[in-house]
Amino acid sequence: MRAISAVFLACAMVAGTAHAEDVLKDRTIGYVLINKAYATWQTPDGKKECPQGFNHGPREQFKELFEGVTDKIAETQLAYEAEIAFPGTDPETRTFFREAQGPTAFGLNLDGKVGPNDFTSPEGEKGIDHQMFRVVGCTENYRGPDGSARHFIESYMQKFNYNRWLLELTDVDSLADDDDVTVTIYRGLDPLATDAAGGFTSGGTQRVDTKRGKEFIYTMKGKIVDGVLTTAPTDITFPESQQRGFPYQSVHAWRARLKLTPDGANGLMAGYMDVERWYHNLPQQWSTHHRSYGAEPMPSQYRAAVRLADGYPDANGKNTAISTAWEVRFAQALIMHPDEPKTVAAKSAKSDIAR
Amino acid sequence: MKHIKGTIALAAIALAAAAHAQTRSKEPVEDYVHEPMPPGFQVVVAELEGPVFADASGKTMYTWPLNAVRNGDLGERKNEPTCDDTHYKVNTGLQSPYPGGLELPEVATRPSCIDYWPPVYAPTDAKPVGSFTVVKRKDGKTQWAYEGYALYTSHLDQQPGDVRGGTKWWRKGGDGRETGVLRVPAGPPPAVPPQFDVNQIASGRLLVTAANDRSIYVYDKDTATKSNCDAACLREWAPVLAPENVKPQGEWAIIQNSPGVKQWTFRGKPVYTHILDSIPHSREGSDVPGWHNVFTQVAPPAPKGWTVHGNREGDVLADEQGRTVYIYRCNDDAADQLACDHPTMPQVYRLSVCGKGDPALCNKTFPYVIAAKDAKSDTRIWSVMDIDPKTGRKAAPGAPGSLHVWAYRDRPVYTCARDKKAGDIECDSWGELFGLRNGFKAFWVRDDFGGYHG
Amino acid sequence: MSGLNRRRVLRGVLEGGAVTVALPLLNCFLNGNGDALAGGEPMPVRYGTWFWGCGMAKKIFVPKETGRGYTLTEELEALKNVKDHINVHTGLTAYRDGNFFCHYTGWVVFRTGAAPVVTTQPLAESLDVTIANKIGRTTRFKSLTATATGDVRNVISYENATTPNTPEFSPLSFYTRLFGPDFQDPNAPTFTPNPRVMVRKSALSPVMDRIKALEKEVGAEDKQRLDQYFTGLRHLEQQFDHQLTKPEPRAACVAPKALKEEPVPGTDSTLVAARHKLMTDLMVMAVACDQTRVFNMSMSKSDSNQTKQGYEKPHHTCTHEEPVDEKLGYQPNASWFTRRSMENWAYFVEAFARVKEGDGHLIDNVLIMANTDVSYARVHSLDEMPAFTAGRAGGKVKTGMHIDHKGAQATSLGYTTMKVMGLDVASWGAKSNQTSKEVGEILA
Repeated sequence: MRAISAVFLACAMVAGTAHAEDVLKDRTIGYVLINKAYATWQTPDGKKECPQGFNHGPREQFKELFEGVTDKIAETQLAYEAEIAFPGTDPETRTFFREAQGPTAFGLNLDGKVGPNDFTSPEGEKGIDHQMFRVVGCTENYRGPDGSARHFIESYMQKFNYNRWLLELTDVDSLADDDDVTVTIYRGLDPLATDAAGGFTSGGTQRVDTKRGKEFIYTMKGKIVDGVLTTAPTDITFPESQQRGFPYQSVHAWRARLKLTPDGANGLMAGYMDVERWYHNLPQQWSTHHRSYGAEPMPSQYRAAVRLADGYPDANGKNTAISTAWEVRFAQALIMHPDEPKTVAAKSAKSDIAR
Repeated sequence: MKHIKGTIALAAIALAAAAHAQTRSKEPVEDYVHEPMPPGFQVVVAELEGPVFADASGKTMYTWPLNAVRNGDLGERKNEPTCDDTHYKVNTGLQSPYPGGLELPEVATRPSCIDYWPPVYAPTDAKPVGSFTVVKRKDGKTQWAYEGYALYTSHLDQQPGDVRGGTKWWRKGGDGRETGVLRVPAGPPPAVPPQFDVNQIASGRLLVTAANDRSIYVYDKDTATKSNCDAACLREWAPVLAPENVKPQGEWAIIQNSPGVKQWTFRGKPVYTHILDSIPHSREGSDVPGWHNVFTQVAPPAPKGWTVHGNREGDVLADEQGRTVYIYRCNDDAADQLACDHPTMPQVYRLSVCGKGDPALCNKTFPYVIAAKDAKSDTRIWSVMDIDPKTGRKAAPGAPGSLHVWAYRDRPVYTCARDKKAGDIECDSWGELFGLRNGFKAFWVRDDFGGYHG
Repeated sequence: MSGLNRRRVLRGVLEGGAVTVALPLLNCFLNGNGDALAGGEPMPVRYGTWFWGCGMAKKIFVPKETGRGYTLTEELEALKNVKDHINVHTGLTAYRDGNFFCHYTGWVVFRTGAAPVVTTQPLAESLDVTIANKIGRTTRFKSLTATATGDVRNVISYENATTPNTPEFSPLSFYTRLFGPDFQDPNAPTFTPNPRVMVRKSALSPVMDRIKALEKEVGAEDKQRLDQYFTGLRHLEQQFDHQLTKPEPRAACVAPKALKEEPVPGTDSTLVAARHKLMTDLMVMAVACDQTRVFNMSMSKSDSNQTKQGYEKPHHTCTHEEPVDEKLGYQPNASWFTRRSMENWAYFVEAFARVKEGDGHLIDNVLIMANTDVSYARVHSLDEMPAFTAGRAGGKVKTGMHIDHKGAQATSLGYTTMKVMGLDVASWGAKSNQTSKEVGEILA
């Protein structure tokens, strides 16, 4: 059975006719993020990676936890919400969480090793680190093509300017091969440019947000080989909001591997995502009601993420971050800087959530 | 005679409240359309909400318009009051994803709708006046209504000008799918031309365009009779033009910059929109030196020493130590949609999301904002109160173990232990429905991206 | 025609208050061929819109064939009796132009030509108002808008950007508006007719003598038509009377636990269908009697909250939560709701097809555009949106087809209907939704 990769719902990028060197201006090219989703390897019926089926969400868990036990709001609804706000790590006895199984996943080899828990990519690359796939792979909210969270995270990323994410390459001699380029990430201020058919297109303009977006500016080194950019691992944060709360994600050793064209860039980005930060954002972004759309049980996911965390141990040796990979697509954009000195030093993101 | 005296005394209180607001802030208050009202009714200018209708005793009047919650509609239709003396025992299940039929907290002592929301009864021979009509209740009594919606007062309001039961804040009455179905203070429309509207925000009553809620601005360099926005300026600022046949009225006048080109002025200043504003009710234009948003009425200031800090989304209010201040909101899912966010109401909702039911953890996660022993507020909207931290309920002043805390709209405000530096918003949108239904929202004073700010 | 005024209404007094009973377009008002008015003016072509929320399931909605003779799909099965009166349009695109508001942008584009920039109002009037401003000036009502949801807030028509046309949401008050006095003066000493009294005694009773006289004057066919009309009206009145004498039925929320407290408002789909039927019957009567030439009906709101007995989620929540059935390839309960919508649409079209007018039926002299707010509700998709047209617009429009627009602007459909209704506009809409293309396939 051929595995089907997760597909984006967004419109296709317009094919460009520009030559690579034409779009490089002063050895610089900019990109703006137009698609993003967890890289989830899927089979059409999900049976291979989810042999026990898909996860139960809040409605189903409510029945499993409370039906026939109690019918008081304080002991049911509020107890469930309390668990969402303060999730435990004790084993769940009345509900069952389904992790994605099997050896195959999309992603990148983050630690340079081939470990016993690592995946092999569909193309045969070994040592893939993407334990987040196990956490979200059997939750319908995150499965393509129309998992609700998957769709709405991307939709809000596209339409809510708070999420505008820019990638600028400088010191570029060639988009085909260049072993030393500088990569800077910014938050932008402007809506995505669309073409007449409503697809997100290249050629738009993006102003850098230096007023409120300074915390999202990071610079790192990268290299381009055969038209593929890889960036050096760097701790970053990036905005990710569905327009209710205003959270951000915190990723250690983030890097991207992107196929570059004059019109855009697409590929994977990956790193070790801070578990507490990731979970903290879940109810901020979307309520229990919305998580029901794709049967997503937040407290159970927390337990899974804590259990599967595979990086950045704390003082007690407990891992605080989980390897994660996203499929991403960027469109080329003209990045405009205000008249201010550019930030050049790389900044670190810390695991800063206290429980 | 007594009645008249009483009326005068009450009117005096109302005027005093309005005058107090005016003197305190030295800012003007919102002018409104003067409508005919039933005998005894009056308009009181509230500190935050602007002009509201009040009954003869000065109590703010509210309506409860039908609104959608996730799985249905609640609230009242026009001419159909439903708020009665039923003591509901279970929830409706309309909030989603939770089922109906669950026993409400403290069910034995749960008030009825009219305990919290006394109807504004009308005499049996009452006649309609203007937009005020008389509707028949199911219990046979008659009740006043405004624009068809039955009128109520709130048991939380104590003095003229109090608007503690509901708010015009948050999307002109609320998005029931997120907040539950809220009561809204009834009030006369603002006295603005049809091209304009007023949005309620935390900082006051913001003037915007009616068509698309774009913020209105004024320019320091303009005068009452002349716009000094030159060609370069006009690339960024669009005068709000007045139609051909308009006449000046109240605080609104017209100037003619070029022959035939008429521009509105408000309180002696030509008005504009900011072309570069990226969201409705934006504050971005006021970042440009010399330019200012326009408020028909500004909100009372926060307690002395409190500050405002910026972050990746906007600006938030903070206490003297720079800790972001949070508001707690709660509306239950019973058919009468009673609030659950006041210290006299069941605390179990708040305790569940702030501390897993444990008051000690709650107080650790969301500490109260402690007020100095002698702390005083110049306004009604900000106040100090005494709270028993073990129960979350009001305490007698000086009671052992009680805390003297700051409150907004008679409800304590909080900080968040996860916030580490000024401007942090770790606990924003915390709880059910992003902090709108049973949870916490940061006290946003400015929003630059158009998110949900409560 | 003696005794008949220009507006073809009968007026009488009921219990001291005036009532107005309009007449259908009788043959006696027409020319000899029955294809034009007696004075030579063409038969009036009326324009209407219809709305349903939450789109469709493409797999079982979109017919495989295009043109005539297409096979009705599962979700369109209910339309079998009206297939010849309608056109199915698929593959339409509503462009967002930089803003997107769930369950709002899609239908606002269809109806106003432009993508809204705020969630609360459009940028322009809706097309029914544009058309009504041209053809609605001579009738008693410039246009009539009604909703079957029972909710006054469910707006689908905008007089201008800031003024929604509030729909009739109560069948009883709609009836009162149509058959009560022309003017309601709140300061007048006379009373407002009590609808309860009107239906009990019938709005027809004060004009009964005039009806009898009229029946003597008209031909056999007209007599039959009058009989059908008045019988229908009386039947409606009896339905109201019936409803007024017992509590309005309310469905309990379909949660597993039965509610013991306040029942939820009537969102059950059977209640909605019943309300829709009543509103439709009234609307058709008003149109047939030329009380209005522009009409709008919304069967549900855009994020439809209709409920199904025994199923815990309302329509909108269901579209997001229900998994796609592995075998079926669509969401079964979401599709159930869509099928109910199509049943109501069929009823609406059929109601126009039943009324004889001239040498044909009322459906021959109307043009109705029916649209929704999304295509695939689960992801709020505005691509491949479906719509319908119904009616032959006095012979200007062909029917019985499926047209696949292959991604064309949704506004081309509204634009086409405006042109058919005689509006001389070079284009319609704004930005990416601006169009000057007509849907040639349906033009006769």
